[in-house]
Amino acid sequence: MSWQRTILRVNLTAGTCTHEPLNMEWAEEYIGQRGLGTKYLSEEVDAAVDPLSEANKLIIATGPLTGTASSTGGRWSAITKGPLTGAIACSNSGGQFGGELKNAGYDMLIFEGRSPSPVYLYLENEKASLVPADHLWGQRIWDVEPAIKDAHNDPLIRIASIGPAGEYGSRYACIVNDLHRAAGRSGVGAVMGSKNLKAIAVRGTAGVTVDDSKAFMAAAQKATKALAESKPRMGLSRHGTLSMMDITNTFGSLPTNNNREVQFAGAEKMGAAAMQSPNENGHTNLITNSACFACTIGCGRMSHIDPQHFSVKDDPRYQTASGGLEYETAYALGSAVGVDDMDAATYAGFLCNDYGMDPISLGGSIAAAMELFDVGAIDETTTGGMKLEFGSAEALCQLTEMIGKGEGFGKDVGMGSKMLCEKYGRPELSMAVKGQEFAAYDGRAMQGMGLAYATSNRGACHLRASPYAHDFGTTEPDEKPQMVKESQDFIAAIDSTGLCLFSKNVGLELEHYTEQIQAACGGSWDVERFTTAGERIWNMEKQFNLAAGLGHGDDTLPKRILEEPAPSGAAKGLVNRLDVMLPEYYKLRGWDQNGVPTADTLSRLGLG
Amino acid sequence: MPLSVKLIGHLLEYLPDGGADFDGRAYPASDDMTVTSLAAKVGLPEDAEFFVMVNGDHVVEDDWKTRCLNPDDEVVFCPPLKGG
Repeated sequence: MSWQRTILRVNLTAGTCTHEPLNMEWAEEYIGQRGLGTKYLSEEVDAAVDPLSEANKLIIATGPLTGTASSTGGRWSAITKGPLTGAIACSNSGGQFGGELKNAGYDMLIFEGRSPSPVYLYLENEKASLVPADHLWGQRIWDVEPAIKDAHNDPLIRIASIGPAGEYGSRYACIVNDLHRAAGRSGVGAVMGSKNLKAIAVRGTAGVTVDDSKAFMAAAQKATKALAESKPRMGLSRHGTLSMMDITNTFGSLPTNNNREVQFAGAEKMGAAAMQSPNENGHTNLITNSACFACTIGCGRMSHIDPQHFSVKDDPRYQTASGGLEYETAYALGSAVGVDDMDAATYAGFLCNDYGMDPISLGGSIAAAMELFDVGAIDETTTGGMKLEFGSAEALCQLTEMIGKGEGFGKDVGMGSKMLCEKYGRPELSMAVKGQEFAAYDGRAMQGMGLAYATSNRGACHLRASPYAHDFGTTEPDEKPQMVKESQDFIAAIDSTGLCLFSKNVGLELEHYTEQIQAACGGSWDVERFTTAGERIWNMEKQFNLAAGLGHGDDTLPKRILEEPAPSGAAKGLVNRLDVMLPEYYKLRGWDQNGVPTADTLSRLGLG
Repeated sequence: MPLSVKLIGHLLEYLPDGGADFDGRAYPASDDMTVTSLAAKVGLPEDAEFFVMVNGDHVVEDDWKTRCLNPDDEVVFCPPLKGG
């Protein structure tokens, strides 16, 4: 079986590390990673807790296919109650860390309590210890990783850590692994910081076994072949996700200037072609692509900023190659704030990876701040002298650094757009759901995405449903609820396997997942069991949120998206029709008119 | 006057050599040219998924066989990429 059947429970208050058996009954129902981590959180944490209190827990979870030869089998998730939203937080990351953790012998790590002083967890297969980290506290991530590797004299250690943003409690602080991958959303890094936990360092050589190795290799090869032959996969390998910039801008769903507009005049300077073309100095941003553990897609970008660019001219630290822009970051540090300077956006992205911040929420929060400045709700007195204008690359870079350090106005912006806009009397200017900032799709041209944002259990999110193809086909709302509900269920299942959702986006069918799970884990897995598990996970997350105090009123969208017609593009003149879609969605879910799962639904899913 | 035709993202992968020789100004409009016939002329196979914008307006799939194209129309074929 490709579960390791082992959890490590780390009591940070007592300073103890205890190995426990994995609950296999739960594993059969919730699979792993997102599903199983959420099950443990739901059972062990009162949903009403303060997310930054000792009573919250931070769970790091792999899936049964993490660490195997399955293509894209390197994913892991951080699960907790999110400080940005007050809701369930489940943040997914790639890189090498997840594969290493699983190969060290762990399905899951559960961190509870709070260490009296900063520590990091060091794992070498079954050996686990908490190591003093006072000397690392305050350090940026790009210094922490080499420091830990040097301390243990092992360059192959894989590390997940927080930067200064997580330490001071920015509400969108993230956990960064392998220098430029991240469990990005909802403030999971702030939870880690609240526990005085600086890093998790792991060396894993124990290996991962599967139930039927011959069947597993056949199923894994079948999936790999499907990916190899897929045209969308070829595009993703060649261009990364940045092709999406051309697509949403053409369609009219590229949020621009805090969703005031839906098309961006500077989009061409921020797209895939621009990344691959020399600039006026003959410098090209893109160096090569990069891949996560076991991935045969390689959508990641490695980038280098022009040494003559204002952002790095006097800052050699960032005159280096590191993780470059993907679509979400190019939007958040580009069109959202009106900036069409690719190197400036790349620099701000480097800062996000070094200080440990979610670039999507950071961009959304800076965009909100820029609109507050534009309407006169704040001024240069508030910002410490900074002219916070849409389109200012200099302001973007300066403010990003201030947010990372928690300095001055930066600390305010680091609390997220909802708290920022409420503080300055303009709550309607926060483009967020449940406190989490929008991703790179406007919900007026993409009606299904608007519904997906509104109903996502972790706040506005583009990865919780897959309305893309339908939304690019029509703005009519009729079929969206069914499509959003179905995709939410299968995505919840995929997020629980250890495989990357992008494998589904570029051509795998659900059978590819169930065949691999069956061969790796044993038992009897088909698409119905798989998607029912996903539906079960979705409803369990919803129950956690209801217990945390979120309700029907939180399944909504900002006024701008519901009442201000899109100014251009495919949705010119349209608003999002949540009023039509949401009641139908609740019905399809088997929930009442307030979005509460009925007793019948819970019983059917084994949650009653 | 030729149409202006753009292929975005992985749609170029359907063409020989990944679309290295694709010329978006090489397609003159004719009286009976529709979105569907243009897609075939460009070399997009029937099973390729895409959406279409003509002069900035979204043309739904139901209209592809009937929407006639005019000289100097700007036609953009986009894949319905799934996000990240």
